[in-house]
Amino acid sequence: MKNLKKIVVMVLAVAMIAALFAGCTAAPQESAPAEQPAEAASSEAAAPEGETYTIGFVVMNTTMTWMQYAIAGAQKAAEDAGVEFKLYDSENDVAKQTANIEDAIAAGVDGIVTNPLNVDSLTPALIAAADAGIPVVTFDRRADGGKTIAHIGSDDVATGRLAAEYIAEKLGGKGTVIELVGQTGASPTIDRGNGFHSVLEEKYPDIKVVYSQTGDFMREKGMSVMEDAITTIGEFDAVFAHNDDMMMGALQAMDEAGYDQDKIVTMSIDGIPDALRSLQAGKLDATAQFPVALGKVGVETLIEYLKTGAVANNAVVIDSWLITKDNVDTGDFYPELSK
Amino acid sequence: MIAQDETKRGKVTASSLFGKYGILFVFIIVCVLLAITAPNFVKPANLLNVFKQVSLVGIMATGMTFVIIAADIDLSVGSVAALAGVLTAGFEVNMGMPLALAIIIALAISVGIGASMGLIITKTKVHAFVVSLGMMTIVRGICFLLTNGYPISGVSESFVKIGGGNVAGVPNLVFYLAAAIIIGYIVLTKTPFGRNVYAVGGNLTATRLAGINVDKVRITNFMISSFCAAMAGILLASRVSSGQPVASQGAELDAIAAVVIGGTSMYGGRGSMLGTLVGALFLGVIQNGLNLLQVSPYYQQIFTGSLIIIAVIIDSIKKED
Repeated sequence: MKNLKKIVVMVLAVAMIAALFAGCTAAPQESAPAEQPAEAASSEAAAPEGETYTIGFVVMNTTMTWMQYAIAGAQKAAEDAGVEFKLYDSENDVAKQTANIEDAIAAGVDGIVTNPLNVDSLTPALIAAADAGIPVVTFDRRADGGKTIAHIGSDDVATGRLAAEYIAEKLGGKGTVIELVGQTGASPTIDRGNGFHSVLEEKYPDIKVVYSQTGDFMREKGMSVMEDAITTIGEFDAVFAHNDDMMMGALQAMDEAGYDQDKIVTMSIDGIPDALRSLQAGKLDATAQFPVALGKVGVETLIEYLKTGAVANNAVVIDSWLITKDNVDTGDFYPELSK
Repeated sequence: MIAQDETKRGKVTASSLFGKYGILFVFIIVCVLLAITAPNFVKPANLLNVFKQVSLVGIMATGMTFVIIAADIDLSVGSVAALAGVLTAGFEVNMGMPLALAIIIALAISVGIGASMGLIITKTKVHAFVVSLGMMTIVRGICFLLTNGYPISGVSESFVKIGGGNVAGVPNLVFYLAAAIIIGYIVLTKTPFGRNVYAVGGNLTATRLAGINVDKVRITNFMISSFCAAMAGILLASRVSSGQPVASQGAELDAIAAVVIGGTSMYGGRGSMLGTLVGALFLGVIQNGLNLLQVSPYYQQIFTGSLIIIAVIIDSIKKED
């Protein structure tokens, strides 16, 4: 009887495993969480020699709002060009991102588009890709080491400067600022911070940054950092967050602590729908649009390289612009708000 | 008693074989299924990738095997790995130390952390779970303190070559993993120390009464675990060419999972190094396979968790013997 039970359990277990496999492989390629399953566009390939290109899209995470929209845009660009799109989620882990690049190389993709978690972490992986003859395009965040054929970015330093000028203007050149810093070691964090601080140092010595901590670009962490800032500092004139997700958490923290939002100048970066709504509601004062098009242009640039062997522009800069309540309808995401 | 054992030993039935190698069967089944459904799975380049990707958790799991067989647990390995990477990179970049010296000192400090954990656990009788949990947080905090939260970059080419090079087409990481597993296997099965580890895990009091210094055994286990964690951490820093204070968060759970899936009991007294290897490969193969099948990351988590439970259920059958 005991032996029979063992055999039954084993058979059941094997059946369960097989069922899981069947279920998972039957689920069509569900790449971006917010989108419809990507159609296998390879059958209508537009690639000249009848061959379809495959692009590995290795993203740092799929949880940040900005990232989700960038992925969707990139996926659409691939579909429109008849190119196969493989999404790899690095879950904010540098080791995983390296492993994902290696997986993409082993899977035989024709090219890789990625946004490195920080400026050095992908260097060995990028060198491996170059050795394998696979072109890499970076977008949003740059890589300092390894070879890439192009970088699609936004001038984060200029955006940081923009933020500083806006806050300085609103404060009349004098006041205290709380800074919510992004993921440490990431190029947007470094550049936005540098831009912001350099303007304050050069032109507005009476504006002081009295609290500066990292919220890792995440909403919950932004909220808890803001709560701590409130406890530590108490009174302040402005809040600058390196991205909207953190600012949304911070606004909630300020609300719960009973702060009057009209008296505090708030500015962040990205221009995601929640931020635009907040602008319209009068809570957030300003945001700078960080174009999600970076993902789309990254894919388009790589396709250009694959088809023609060269890129017209290997350092594409898409500018960000200031959005306030007055011009909120120029935001990338404005169509999202009217749904 | 003896007559019964002899009868058992004589019987080599399918079910007794299965009971002994339960997890191996599941592993092979999963591999076969993947080979069928994912065309790229069996490509040598891909298989080498899998070994590369499991090597770091595998090395950590090697050390963890000692700890768990002795009925303890070490939750600090992720943080220790990060610290070792940060220290090595920091010594090289900020203090101009030669690479070999930086590595030795980083390893020594990590072993010291293991020793202090072992001392606290054995002398104060506080459970290993709590002590290693506290150490996990302390060491992580030290990582951030030393780096201000920023990765340490600018490491030398030699540093990157440690984890990144290959010999005759086989990645260095695979050699490190093989070395760890082989040495771990020999120590565990062929030395008196190894036998003591099993004895301590099987019955602490009886072992102490038999005259063995159980405290020394347990402390040594934690030192081994921290050493392996540090080795993994240095290799990781090499792979991402920077010392990352946030590295390996959650790695302790991966290491423990590999050990437990491999058949080592959390209650101590039973387990094997080869089982750990299979456990680590099992986890790596699933993740790699799901990536190749382009399964959404969310489904991947559900799938991995389910497979872990199924694997342990299958393995628990053999406990009924």
